[in-house]
Amino acid sequence: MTETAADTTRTGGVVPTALEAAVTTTDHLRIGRAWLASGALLLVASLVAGLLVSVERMDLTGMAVFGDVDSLFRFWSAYRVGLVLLVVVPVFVGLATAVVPLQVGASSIVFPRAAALGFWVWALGAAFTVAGFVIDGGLGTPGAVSRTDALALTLLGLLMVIGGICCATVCILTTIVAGRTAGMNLSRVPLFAWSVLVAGSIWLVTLPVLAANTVLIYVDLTGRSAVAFGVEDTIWGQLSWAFSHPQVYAFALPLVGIAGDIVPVAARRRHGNHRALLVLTALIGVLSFGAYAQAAFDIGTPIREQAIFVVEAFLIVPLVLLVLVGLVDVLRRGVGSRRTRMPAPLYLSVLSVLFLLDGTVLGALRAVAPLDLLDRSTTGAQFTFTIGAALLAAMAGTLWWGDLIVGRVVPQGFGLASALAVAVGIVLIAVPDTISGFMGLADFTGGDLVGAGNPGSGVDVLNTVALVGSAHLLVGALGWLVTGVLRLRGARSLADPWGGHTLEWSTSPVEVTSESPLLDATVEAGA
Amino acid sequence: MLTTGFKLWFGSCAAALSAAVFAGYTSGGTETGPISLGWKGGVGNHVTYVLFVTAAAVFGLLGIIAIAFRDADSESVAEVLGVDTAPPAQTQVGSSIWPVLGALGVATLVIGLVVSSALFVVGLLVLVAVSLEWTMNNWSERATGDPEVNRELRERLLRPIEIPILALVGIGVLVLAMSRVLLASSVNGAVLVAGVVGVCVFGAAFLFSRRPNIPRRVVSTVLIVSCVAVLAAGIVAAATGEREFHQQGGGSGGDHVEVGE
Amino acid sequence: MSSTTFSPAVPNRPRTLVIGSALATSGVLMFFGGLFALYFSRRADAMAWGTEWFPEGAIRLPPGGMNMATMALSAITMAWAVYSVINNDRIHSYLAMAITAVMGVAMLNQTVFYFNDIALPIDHSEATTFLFVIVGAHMAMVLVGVFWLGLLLLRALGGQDTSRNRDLVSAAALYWYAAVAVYMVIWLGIYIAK
Repeated sequence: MTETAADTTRTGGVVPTALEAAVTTTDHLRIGRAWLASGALLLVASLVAGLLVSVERMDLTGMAVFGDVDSLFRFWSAYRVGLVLLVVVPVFVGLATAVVPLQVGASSIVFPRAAALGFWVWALGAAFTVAGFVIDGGLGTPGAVSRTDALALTLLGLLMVIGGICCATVCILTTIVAGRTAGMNLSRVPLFAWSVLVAGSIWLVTLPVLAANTVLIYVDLTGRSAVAFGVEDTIWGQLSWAFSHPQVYAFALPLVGIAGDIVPVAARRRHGNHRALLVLTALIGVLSFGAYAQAAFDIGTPIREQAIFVVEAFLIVPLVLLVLVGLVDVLRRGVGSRRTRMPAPLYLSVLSVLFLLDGTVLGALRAVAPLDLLDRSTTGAQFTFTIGAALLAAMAGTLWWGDLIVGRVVPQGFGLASALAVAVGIVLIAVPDTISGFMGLADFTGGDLVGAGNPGSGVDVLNTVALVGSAHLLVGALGWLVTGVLRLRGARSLADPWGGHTLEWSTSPVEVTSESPLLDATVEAGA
Repeated sequence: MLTTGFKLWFGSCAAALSAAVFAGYTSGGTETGPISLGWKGGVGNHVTYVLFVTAAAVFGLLGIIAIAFRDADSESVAEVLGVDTAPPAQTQVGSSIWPVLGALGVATLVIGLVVSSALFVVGLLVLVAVSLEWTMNNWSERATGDPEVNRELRERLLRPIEIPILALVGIGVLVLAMSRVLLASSVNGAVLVAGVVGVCVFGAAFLFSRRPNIPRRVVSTVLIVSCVAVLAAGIVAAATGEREFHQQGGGSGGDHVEVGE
Repeated sequence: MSSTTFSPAVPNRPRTLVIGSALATSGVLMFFGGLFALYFSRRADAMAWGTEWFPEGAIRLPPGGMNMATMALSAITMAWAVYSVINNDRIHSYLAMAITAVMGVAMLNQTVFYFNDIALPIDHSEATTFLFVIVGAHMAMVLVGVFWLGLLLLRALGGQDTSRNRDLVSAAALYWYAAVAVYMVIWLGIYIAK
């Protein structure tokens, strides 16, 4: 796969320099790579923040690393915001920008200049957001000690991040809807493209709500005196819905598509029921609409104790379970015809669905009022499982489609080892946090034992395990980054290294005539 | 027949409406409130209800567009155009500087909101300029079927406007930046800075004219680095502020003679 | 005298722009949905407690009603623009788009005048913060629409707003109708219900 000629030479015959080409590109593969690289770098930064918070949690009675609760809160919130809006969503957007046009048989992403605009707005917004957190801003602190201009910078950076993501999402969704090749009707698109269509639709109806919250906060904050929304210690409460159940599922949803595309090719068997998976993905998407769960605007019964929240939390579990069952069924049916050596992305993608299932189960448990888990560390565990699952799927996706996106190969073993380090990290953080939650540990531990919720004994040991998990995550992320660098220096790749038969692997124009285009050729060969 | 896109978005619309009604009744809504959009009674939790209803409206809109356009399937598009094969959804557009400049415009606007209203206006102007350029680019790409002719058309139309404006803006920004540096320096420092910069400009121009074979890349790098350095110095100087000025003489019409530190 | 004939550009695939515009407009609508959700929630709470929401006499119906009428009329002129473009009626399409843009500017002018007139500070209360954010955001939406129409007029003068390229105008029309719909909620929820 190569960049388009129009992109490598400017009209007029002058060959652009590498920098010029990178800055002015409208090629979807290059833009996709830019999203992926930026996401990987910001992943490392976010995980460093997470690691420092984990170190601080080792001593619940005082402050060892940060000196004060406000700094701890700043890093704690930066970790969550960073992982979601600066890492997971951008990486999925990058994968989709690069792969989806090929999957639906489009020659390019639709509105390529707008897609590039989306990336640059996001990238500059991400820089402002990070700068805001670093210069004593962030999204408010319990002690209300932040600099107002730094707070404003973070909020405006966040608005740019949201704007960039929405702009890119519109381009991707338009490509899926209006850019499909002949015969490729919407029910025939590969599962990744479909999951992006569903997830993107949910992002487009929820991220603007987050923007509305942010604008209200910004306007109030920069007035002569904050009336309600801009009062510093309330800011995080107004935005936190975007980083917890059920909204996090919407951000992780493309993982269903990644697994759905990898498993049948690896097992050399088509899905038992492609349409059922489309419906399941759509249902999970609808149930992950989380903009309504704004606890900061509770009047009367808190929203997280209302029926709609509880029902949603429980309904999503069987749906994810059914997806997992569907994938396992494909693997089971493919036992006879499977390759001798299974590709690394297969393990990772199945594991990611399993982690998502864990996340949804924890989400359901949190909704059980007598367990009183809503503000406990179980919330963090649920976040880790869900966003970790998305991260793992993104790593699987980059290993699977990396040859296509970069045009060069990478040792799969190294990529697998990095991703497994991440997987181990997720388990080592989420499982202890789940148990700690039952023992009373607060989600944000604060600066003393009271702030930490006076948890039972044994929490220290669990926090130590979680710290090891954070270190694992960071090592895995660094490994992922190195995998990317190694790929840039790798040998030229084959056109279709996996024997996949969705359109992205095709080297010539294709017209789809089959009702189930996925894997047709493989089924014939393997059956 | 109902299309897949319609089923997806209209299904989401129905689900969101059901969720709104369910949430309304289970959060304190009255008998008729949740089913009458609050016209006849309370809807319970307003945040939940309004957001679900808005989401339903948005999904409904997308569903209607999906079915009206037959999901924009290639075949239906070809039928609309009366051709056998639909044209590609996107033609190759080549590289473009406008997206990154547009993003820089947004960034300037944002910094302006935090730091100064002048920067906000600059950001706004950049965005307007980028929008105009972007539009004219799109227009020229559709003018004829020959990309070379289109490029010439665009250049003939816009270059006479772009070059003077860019030159004016460039000179204005550099003069402004230099003036900030000179105003921030001490009296002797300002003389020294002006002298050194003048010699550098003269020296570089002399060198380039004497050696016309210097590669274009070297010339452009020197120019870009110099401009960025002057800009950076100007920003730092502006942040530092002007040196103290003491007024000699008095009265509003008196001569202002500065004496520095 | 010689003349050169150029081949026409490859036609655009229809629907693409309208679908892109519909998706982007959906995002904008949800932005306002978010603001309205929080507004109505806080307002209902204030009403339930019997506390004052807007200061007595601050919100007057005539300016809001005039704006609503202007926006409603602009929806009709926008539909006229789409109809004219579909029928390759260039003069009417220029006229309709220009009138729509002028109505947008008139609405903005009216709103600015009204807000200067009532002289309510933005940080007077939660209600005024909401008022300024919602109305201000809608003004920004209309301003973008007016600018978009200006760009379309530019392309129309270049001969591209024809039935072959009707999506250019249809996409803008969709956005404009959404701006009218949002104002309708502002009119009902803020100016009438107060």
